[in-house]
Amino acid sequence: MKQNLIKIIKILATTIMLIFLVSCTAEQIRENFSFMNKREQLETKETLQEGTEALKIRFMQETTPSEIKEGSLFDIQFEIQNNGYNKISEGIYKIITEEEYIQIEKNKGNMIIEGKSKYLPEGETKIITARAKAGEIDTNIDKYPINLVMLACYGYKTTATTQVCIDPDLQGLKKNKVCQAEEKTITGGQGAPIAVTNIKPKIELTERGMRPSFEISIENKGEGQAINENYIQQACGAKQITNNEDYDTIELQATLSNIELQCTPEKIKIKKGKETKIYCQQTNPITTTDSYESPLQININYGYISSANGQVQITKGATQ
Amino acid sequence: MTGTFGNLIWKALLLIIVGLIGFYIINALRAPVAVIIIFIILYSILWPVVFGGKGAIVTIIILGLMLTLVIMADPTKTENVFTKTKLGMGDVWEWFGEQWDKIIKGYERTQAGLTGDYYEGEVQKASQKNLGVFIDEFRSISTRFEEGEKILLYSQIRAETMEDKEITIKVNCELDGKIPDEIIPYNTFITQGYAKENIDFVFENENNKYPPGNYRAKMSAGFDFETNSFIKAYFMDLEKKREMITQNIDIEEQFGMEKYPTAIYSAGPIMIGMNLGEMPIGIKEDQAYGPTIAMTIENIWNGKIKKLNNLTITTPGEISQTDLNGEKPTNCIGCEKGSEECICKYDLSKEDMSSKNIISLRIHTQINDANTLIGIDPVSFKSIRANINYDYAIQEEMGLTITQKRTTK
Repeated sequence: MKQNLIKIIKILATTIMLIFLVSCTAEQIRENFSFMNKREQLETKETLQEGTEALKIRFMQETTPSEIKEGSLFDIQFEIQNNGYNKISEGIYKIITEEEYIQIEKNKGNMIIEGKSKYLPEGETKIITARAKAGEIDTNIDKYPINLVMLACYGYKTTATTQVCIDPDLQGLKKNKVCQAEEKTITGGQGAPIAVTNIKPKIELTERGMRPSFEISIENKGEGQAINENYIQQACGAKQITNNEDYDTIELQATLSNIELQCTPEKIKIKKGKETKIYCQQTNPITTTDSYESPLQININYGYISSANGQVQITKGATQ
Repeated sequence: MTGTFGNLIWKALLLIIVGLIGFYIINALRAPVAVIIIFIILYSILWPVVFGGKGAIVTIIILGLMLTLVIMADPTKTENVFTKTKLGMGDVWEWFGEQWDKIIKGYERTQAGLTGDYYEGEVQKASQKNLGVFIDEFRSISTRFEEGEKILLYSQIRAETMEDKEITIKVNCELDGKIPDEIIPYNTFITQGYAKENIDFVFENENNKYPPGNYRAKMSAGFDFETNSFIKAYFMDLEKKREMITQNIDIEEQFGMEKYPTAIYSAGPIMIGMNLGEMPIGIKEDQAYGPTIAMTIENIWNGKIKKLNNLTITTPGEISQTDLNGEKPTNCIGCEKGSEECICKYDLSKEDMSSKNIISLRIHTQINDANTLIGIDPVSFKSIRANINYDYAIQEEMGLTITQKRTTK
């Protein structure tokens, strides 16, 4: 009897032990899975947030007829793909051509298009179709080439996040520092046409103490033109907003450990193929004398103009 | 002695090889008869140059062989070898004439280019039609006519115009400066689209009108024709253009335009080249002066421009035309604000084209509505068109022989 009781106790103890062990392993596995998912997500985000493109426009030669007879109807097709990381939620497009020879039924419209994501690694693709009618061409001229341009004006955003080292030891006297401040060159872009290309950390010595500052270089690496995000609608129109100097300026905000930095110039004029330098400084001085790492986030908001063009030819002889 | 003989053999072999290579090249290039004759003469001269007096014997042998080959190849040419040579020399002279014409045209073009007012155009490549009037054939029923025999020359004329264009072709022929006694079926005809006409010329040879000898017959076809040309023009708000340039934006790439567009002209005897300067043309809201249209009109065929008639320039309705080389247009339609097109006609009949092949013109313009010209899009696509009508003449020549009447015993 006693022996039986001991057996029962042993079995129970083993069972409890097994349950405990199994539950521990499952938790471990679950934790491992969760960690891997997070890492994967981060890696995916990093991969998606690369590149220097936003909206890619392509004239669809394969579906738009290359030759159209005088007076005939045809469809003009452009493919748009948001190859950048951000969603275009405020965008307009316009198809421009020689109106004397081609009349387009609906030559403009709004567009909303998703950017790159885990499920759409190339970004969302849409096809813009416009019904058009070919006009008449001159006598003696067999074929008349017509340019078709699609212009898209939209708002876009660049976000760059990086760990920076704040090192108040200007003389370099301290040993065993947590980190050392060094210049960061960023290649590959941030999944947007305006790219942050370089960050140079500095320490400014002021009367109130030491203030971290950064020299941030940005560049328009895309194919289009950058404008102020408030002038997207006007950008696809004819006139330059001559009385407003803001038209071609973009804005940059930078935060260091979620504290906003003061950047100059406030209104940035950007040139294609040329780096523009912005100087950002923390308003409050730091109290510590030890070096430390801190997250620097740079947000640039702007409007962008992308375009693509194709050609069709109007030929003699009307179609019935 | 052996050495000298060996040298002679080598030299002779070398000259033979040179000759063979030369003939091979000429054959491959399908050179005209005149070039072949020049080559034979130069090659024949080469032998006496290399071998001295003895070489002259080879020259005679070569020329003899050549003539024999020619005679064997075409028995109709056996009748009068010397006459043929003379006619051949006539061809050589004609060929030199053509080359001279080309040199003159090239010189005129260079002169115009140096002064900065020569603008090239591009013939419409896409065109399936070979627009113009062409003498496809001009021959005689025989190359030798007997004294008193009726001389019959025949020709084939091909004309091609656009379906909706009608042209009048006037054909003429001359033999020794005299006009034919009969032209079959007619010397003037009107055609539209594609046409081929056979026209025969009969020269009666009574009363020794054409005594025995060598003659050159000339055939000409005069016709009225017109050439169209167009050039793309891109207009943009000046401030917007400046802004894009400041931002280093490639405007041409962004809007798919050429920086210096080339005029496209329809096929035919005349080229119309146009230039509007660098694109896009920046326009200010209050701008009054318009772009100057620089134009070159060039005779690109071997014929002659008999007369230039009217030049019609069509600009967008927002651009009115003021003058052409200082001369006011003869009339203009729709050049006021609000119209779609401004069409102006200029009289070019005073231009003397007898001694020149190229003329340069400048058409000055004014903007009557800058806002509409800029339009509602960032860039405004327009075109400027030109049409010129003129009288043109093409010519063909051929040689023939009139021999003495054979008497039968």
